Amino acid sequence: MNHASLVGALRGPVMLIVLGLLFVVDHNDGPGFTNTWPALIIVYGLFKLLEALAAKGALGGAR
Amino acid sequence: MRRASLIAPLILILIGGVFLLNNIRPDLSVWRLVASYWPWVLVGWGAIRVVEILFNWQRGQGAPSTGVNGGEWAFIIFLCFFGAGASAAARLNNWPTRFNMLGWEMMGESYDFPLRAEQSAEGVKRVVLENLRGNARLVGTDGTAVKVEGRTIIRAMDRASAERANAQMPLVLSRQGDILFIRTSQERWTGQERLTSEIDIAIPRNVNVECKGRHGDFDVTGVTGSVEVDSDNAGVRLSDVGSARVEVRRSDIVRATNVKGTVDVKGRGEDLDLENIAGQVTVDFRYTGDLRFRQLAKPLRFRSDSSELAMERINGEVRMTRGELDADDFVGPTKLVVRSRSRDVKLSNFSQPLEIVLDRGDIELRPNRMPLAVIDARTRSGSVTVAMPSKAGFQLSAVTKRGEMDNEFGSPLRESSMDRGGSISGSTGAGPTISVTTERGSMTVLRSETATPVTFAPQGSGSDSGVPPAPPKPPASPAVPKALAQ
Repeated sequence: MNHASLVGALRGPVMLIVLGLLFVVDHNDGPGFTNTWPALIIVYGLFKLLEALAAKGALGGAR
Repeated sequence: MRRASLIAPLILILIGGVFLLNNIRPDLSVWRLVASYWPWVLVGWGAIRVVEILFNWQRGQGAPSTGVNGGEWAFIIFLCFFGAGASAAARLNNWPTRFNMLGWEMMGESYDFPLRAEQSAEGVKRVVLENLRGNARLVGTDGTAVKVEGRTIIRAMDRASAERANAQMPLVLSRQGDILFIRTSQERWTGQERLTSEIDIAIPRNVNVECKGRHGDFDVTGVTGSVEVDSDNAGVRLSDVGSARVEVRRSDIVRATNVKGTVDVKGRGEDLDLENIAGQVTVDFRYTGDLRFRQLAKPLRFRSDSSELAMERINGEVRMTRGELDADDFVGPTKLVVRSRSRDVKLSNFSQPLEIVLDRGDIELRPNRMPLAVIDARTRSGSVTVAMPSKAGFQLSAVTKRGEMDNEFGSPLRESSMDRGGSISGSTGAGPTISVTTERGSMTVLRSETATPVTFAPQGSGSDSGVPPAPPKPPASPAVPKALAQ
């Protein structure tokens, strides 16, 4: 059990939430999904970064 | 042992609930709701999974290797395609009204049966049409008879069962006092076959008309009496009628043109289009498309789920979508209130007092009419632009609590800053108070050179167009004596 596995597990659900919110914004006359989809890549990248940091113990190390 | 996820059972319950609601409440636009709100399923799904993972982690059960597995992603992608397709279909206005995949929609054949009936309408004051499914067109004529022509379309597995259904539902014209009933008797058939009746009806011009139905359009033309329409799902088109009262639970369009009296519309639907109405217009309508009001001679009282609008007369046009309101050439007092939704408001060429209260949205005001009247416009979030006539007298107070200011009117109006916002204020002489406020957004005051004086006329005369009268024609040239002309 370490923080890296927790961050890895949360990556999918959080991306799902972001995906849903991008469609919600699209439906409410905000920027369209065709413009906002790169946010998903950014979120994915952030989570990979957090995982790498957690694996090195930068987020408090293994429990 | 890790607990099983709640996601799969919740999604099953949701899918079942949607189909159940669609079956037991046909008046609700369930599929339209699905088309609008499906992205929240993704958000809810993700949120529940986050809570589950954190809960298990907290109890020392560790985290799963993946939060969302491959099969789930496949379903999510399917859901996205389905949802995006549903939303696009809803926007294109061609959404199927009912899903009936296992019924007769996809099986069997269509059989047509003619409908024809005629009866004298001498002394009839009211014609009542009851047609549950199918389109009906009523036309006022100079004759004194009611003539019905059309066809019943029955979708059945074979001709015999179609004929059996048709025999059960005769076209009936019956009279009770001064009321004439026209019934297609569809309610008598309880079988599986699907039926609709398409009918054209000629009626005397001076009767009152009442139409009742569940699914199908009503077109009424050339009737001097009142027209009432009550339907679960109908497109309604009325033209050249005495007065109109429409109540629809669902509708793709309600249109009324050239109405001599009042118009009263209630219910929900996509578009509403009212033009050239001589009487008062009262509208209580939840709409998803466009609203258009043109040439309303008497007051308009409009209400929907998120907004209220009152105007005294519209000489030009007012157009409203879910996100915008554009109005040009109208007479107040005008009051507009929009709650909990973002709406940009653009008003031009208006006279008499104006009050606007917005939650979110930009405001652009160009009165262009003199003398000016009191204006009070407020938005919590949005930029405000006001174009003031250069020759009018007024006291202006334009305040933004957080945003930039731009005084293009110039002197004698002055800018003053405070905190993160400021105000543009000043007086150009004796005149009404113009107060515009935004809590967050830019404030621009422009100078307008095109204002025209208003000629006040008695209300309802229709002559107050805000346009100055044409100058008198010069006298004709004096006749030249023939002797001089030669």
